[in-house]
Amino acid sequence: MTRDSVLKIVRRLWGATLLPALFSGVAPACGQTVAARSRSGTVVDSVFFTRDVQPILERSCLGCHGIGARLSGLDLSTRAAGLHGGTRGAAFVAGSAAKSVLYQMVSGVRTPQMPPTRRLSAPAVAILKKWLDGGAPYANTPVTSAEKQVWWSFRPPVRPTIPNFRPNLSHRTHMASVVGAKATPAFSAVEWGHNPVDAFVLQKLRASGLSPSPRAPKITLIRRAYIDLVGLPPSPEEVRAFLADTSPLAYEKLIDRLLASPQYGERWGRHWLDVVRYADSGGFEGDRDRPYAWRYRDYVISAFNADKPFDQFVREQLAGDEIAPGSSEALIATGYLAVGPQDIVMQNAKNRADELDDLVATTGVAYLGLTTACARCHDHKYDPIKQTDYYRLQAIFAPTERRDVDIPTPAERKRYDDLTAQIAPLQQQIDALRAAARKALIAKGSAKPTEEQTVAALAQTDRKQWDVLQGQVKGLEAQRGELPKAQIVTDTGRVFPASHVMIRGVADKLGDEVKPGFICALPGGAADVTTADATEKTTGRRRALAEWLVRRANPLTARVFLNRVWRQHFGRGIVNTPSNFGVSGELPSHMELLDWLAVAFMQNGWHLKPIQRMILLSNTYQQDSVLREAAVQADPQNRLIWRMPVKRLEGEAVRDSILSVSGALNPIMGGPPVYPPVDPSLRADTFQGPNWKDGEDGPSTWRRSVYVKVKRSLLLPELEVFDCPEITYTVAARNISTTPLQALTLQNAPFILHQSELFAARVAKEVGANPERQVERAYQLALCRPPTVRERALSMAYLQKRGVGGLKDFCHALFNLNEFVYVP
Amino acid sequence: MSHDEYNNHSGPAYIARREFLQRAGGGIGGLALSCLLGGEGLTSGSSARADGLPPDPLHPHPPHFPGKAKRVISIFLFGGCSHVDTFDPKIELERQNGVSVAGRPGFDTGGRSAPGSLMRSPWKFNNYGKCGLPVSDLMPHIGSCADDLALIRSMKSESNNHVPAVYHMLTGSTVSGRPGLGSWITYGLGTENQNLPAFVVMTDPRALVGGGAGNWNAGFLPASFQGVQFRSSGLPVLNLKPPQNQTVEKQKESLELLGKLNEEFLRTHPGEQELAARIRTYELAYRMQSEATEAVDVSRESVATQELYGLNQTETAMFGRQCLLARRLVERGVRFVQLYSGGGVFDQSWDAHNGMVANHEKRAREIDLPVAGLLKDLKQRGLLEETLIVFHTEFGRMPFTEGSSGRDHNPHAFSVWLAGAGVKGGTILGSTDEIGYRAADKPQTVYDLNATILHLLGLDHKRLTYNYSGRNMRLTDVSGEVMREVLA
Repeated sequence: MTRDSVLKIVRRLWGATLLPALFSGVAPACGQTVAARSRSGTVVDSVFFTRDVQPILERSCLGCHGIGARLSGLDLSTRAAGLHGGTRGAAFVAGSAAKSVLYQMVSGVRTPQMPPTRRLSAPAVAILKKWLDGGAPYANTPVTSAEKQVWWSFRPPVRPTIPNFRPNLSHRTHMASVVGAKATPAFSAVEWGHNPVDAFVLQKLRASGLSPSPRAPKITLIRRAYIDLVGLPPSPEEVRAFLADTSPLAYEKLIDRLLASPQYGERWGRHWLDVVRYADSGGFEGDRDRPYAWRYRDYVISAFNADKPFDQFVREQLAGDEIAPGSSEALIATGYLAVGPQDIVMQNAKNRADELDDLVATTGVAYLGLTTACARCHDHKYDPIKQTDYYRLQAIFAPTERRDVDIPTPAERKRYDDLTAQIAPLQQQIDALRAAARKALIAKGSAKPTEEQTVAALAQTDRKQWDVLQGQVKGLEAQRGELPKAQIVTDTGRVFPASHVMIRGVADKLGDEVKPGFICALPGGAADVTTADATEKTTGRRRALAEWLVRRANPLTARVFLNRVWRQHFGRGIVNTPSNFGVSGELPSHMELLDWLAVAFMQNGWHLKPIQRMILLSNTYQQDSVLREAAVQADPQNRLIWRMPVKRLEGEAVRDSILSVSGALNPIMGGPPVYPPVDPSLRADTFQGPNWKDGEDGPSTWRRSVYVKVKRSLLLPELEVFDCPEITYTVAARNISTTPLQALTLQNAPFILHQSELFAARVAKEVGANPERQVERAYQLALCRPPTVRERALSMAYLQKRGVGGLKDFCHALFNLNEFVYVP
Repeated sequence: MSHDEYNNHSGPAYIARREFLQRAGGGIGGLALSCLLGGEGLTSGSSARADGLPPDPLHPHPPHFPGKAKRVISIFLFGGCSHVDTFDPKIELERQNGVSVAGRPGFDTGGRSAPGSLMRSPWKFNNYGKCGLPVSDLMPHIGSCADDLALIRSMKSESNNHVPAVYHMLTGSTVSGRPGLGSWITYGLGTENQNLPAFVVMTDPRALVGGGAGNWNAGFLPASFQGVQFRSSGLPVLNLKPPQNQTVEKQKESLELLGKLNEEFLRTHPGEQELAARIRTYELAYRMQSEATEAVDVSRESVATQELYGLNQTETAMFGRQCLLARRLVERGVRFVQLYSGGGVFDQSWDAHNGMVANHEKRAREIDLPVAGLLKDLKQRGLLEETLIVFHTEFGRMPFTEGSSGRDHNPHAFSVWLAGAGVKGGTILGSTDEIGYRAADKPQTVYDLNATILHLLGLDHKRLTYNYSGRNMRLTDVSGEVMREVLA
């Protein structure tokens, strides 16, 4: 990290949020008082330090250069630490202010001048000079910064007042408890400010002299809402009905319908699967398939559909086996811990440390938005995460192991047991026949008759009965089958050996013992998990972690999750580094809005859908996407949300939209993954057999892309080319690249060509042979709007020129349009 | 421009930002379309676009400092090529051949097979070139290029397990998910020919290298930097061309329609750079169809050239074709070409756990002549001066037997070599201990090798960074020293 970038962080830290609280009237007053005292000629000693120097350090230095942040590696909390210094060397030379970096920088002799924004008063600088010249004595106890100097995201969110809030009382609501008023904003609201989201956004826009964009046309809104919430375009009939519905609640009803649609879970579950690095195979050598991983994928989809409270969702994923060992659903949820990559070829300390690192890193990033893994080899460079914190977290997961377990429903269990019970007496009869025959053989002198000999020795009638019984048993066993299984994670037992810091992250260089625990700098994070937390079969460590993550006082979990949700809707997060809420992440564009949402979310039972509903009903969300010159000049990145950005569809949404438009989409939900055909050149044999199974280019694989096999070493090319990630780590924000291979795929891939044929056939079937009606229908299906006059003319001319087969190529062209893969 | 700055201009943030930074009117569609249909468009190496669009991520980008290499061909032997049987002769193994080391302390096989007996190389070594480099009879043709090679005999890997070791060598990390070497380099330098993929991969058509696409994935870099697999037969790139029944004329008609229909959306969303950029990719894709097809047409090469690569011999024809394609691609400005010898398991690769002789004889014969042909051909065409050849594998093999006739993985020592641009030919860097078990003198890590490769391209491995997950990620993580000894 360069000096400049550190400086930038310091400036952001001090400049943006903390300054008013820190400095309002403090520094001058402090300086005056101190100056008066220093004139009295006090001896420079620990009393002088405590009385005169310490307040300056506390107020002006230790927020960044204290035990917590240690920017530039500098900690001024003790004399020893100050002498040790940071990246610029020792902070001071005892006995000489002139030679001390600290003095040089606060006095402006050396750049950058410190503190970066609010300079010390001349008398305060004089105090520091005197102190340094006098040998820089400290008192005995380390000095800490004022509490309010904690990094913004480490402070629990406090519900802010909604600016200029004018709840609209004229409409029905499900949001009363969330909004904190008796009404909800509505689509018909002309003025901004009826919806808390709008109130916060508008305040920022106005402060920057910007205005919001007008509401987008209804025809834009319906496609936007469909793609955002369910990942599919609306049908022409749905569009027509929405346009025809002139009631003020039309849009609201649309949003409610989409939030309730089962396809919502398929869309939003997929976003979460990115965060938790979901795949159907284990990666590494052989990239072995995980035949039951899909149950976790289905669990996630249903959790979103059911609007499972997020705190419960967190608890189940981290510790379902501990909080509800009898619940299949809770067990399946621990698939979260199982879906990371695993090297099965060699198991040793390093590999185990890597597996645990996957859990620490993913959990740190997914829920806390902190780059915890940075502390594996050393204390975190920017955030107050100690290396010991990393190993405290690692110890939480240390007792875990992957297991395949039976997870029958009670009915499945009963059926299985019933059939087993039917088999048992038959088996007893078989055993009796065998025993009799054996006895006879032994009596004849055969010491150890084999099964073959025994069966051969059966009397003819017995033999007949034997065959019948065997047939019955086989039949029942086939009927019984196997119980459904899931790959879960649980602890190896109630107790587990002590964990240690790994020196510089090296697996076999063990340092001090650590107790399982959390991140000490976060509220409640310093507590240890003890053996008292153990459950009947597990250590209880993960349950304790889950509870800590979803405590109301945890400052990060709710913010981080809602920021991810916001990012999906608006193309950028309120914190635009969605997996880094630390000091090196970006500051929020609307901190109060994020806090308001987070508090409302937690107070409202951690339900996502009401929050999302409020966001989607806001005027902010319904803005048009057209660029405005003045706004571009003022806020080129659209940080303040003066418009809705034009968003590229993800690979899944592109493929699913194609299937939906062609009419081929098979809407069946859940179950084992499907294998759409891939080119033979990508198929290969591995240790574990073929890397891809044969699948038809037909209805059985024309499922939502969330159900397509996620093979770590081979992603479906149609998805991969559109930035579907090879998931090893959490994917917080997918890349959006635009490559010629995407063009080649959409132009030439056999799948796309096939879908174009089906699309054309659908159009012909629905509107017949009239080219004008065909063009109209194809546009409605693919782009949710009628063609313009010019488009109609161009399309008609093309169809006329091409004659037979032209419709297919025309439909194919629509799949290739910018408008098809972008949502305004 | 430092790569820190570049980094800030190329990640998702840049993509989001660039749509606002430059604005063009509704005429973009028409412009791009005319480029598409008129056959005039990008000129390689031009830094400004006539249509005012921001540069493509793959646009040629100056290095940190002038580098001698402009492009790279990586030849990767999957499975673990035995150093003591190719480039690292060990007299002590001759002397102690057959001496059991079972139970002798100091040998770490990482829990794999138990050490058997010391085994001398079944192959004779001869000295080659003015430098007198000893190379075994497995690779006589490569030996004949000795004066162009800088051999590194003291390589070490962090894993003795194929896939992590391959990832380590080819992506810098034993764990998957990092960008490949070629991804980093194209991220750093862009490409000289937009009409071909910047990073081309040719795998062994018989079996896939361990770790598969994880070795040439873009990882956290944008997909533009991902390696593109060239196929061994038929069309070189997946989905390169429309089906047979689609005539060029029909394709042009469809593209023309597409261009015109795209205009409406552009008109209603003026200034959206993403949209204009996407139209441009259709232009590039169109060019790639003809250019990639032409690039893989080895029938245009003279008989003498084809024979130089062994295309006329059954054993060498396959890898020879890949080597020849590699030359044709770098000649056309492709930045990074990666060839794989071996894949799958055991005897599909260099993984000679048993039957050392049969395995390495077969593998080596397939590649020896073609690799030498590539070096010679590049040299005679003057391309070797600007092309870096990297000849590597994931680890070496043990000096002692596994079973009766094989050797197990050895991450403690192996050999790789560099040749071409900026490389001091006829050099040997480092050495192994007397039996070739461990890198002894001047041990070199994978980070060192990758730092050196980047250095030869004019890239500072510490400055080639991409901010991901709160860290400025590097190919060389937190390590890497450039191997000064191998620089010309």
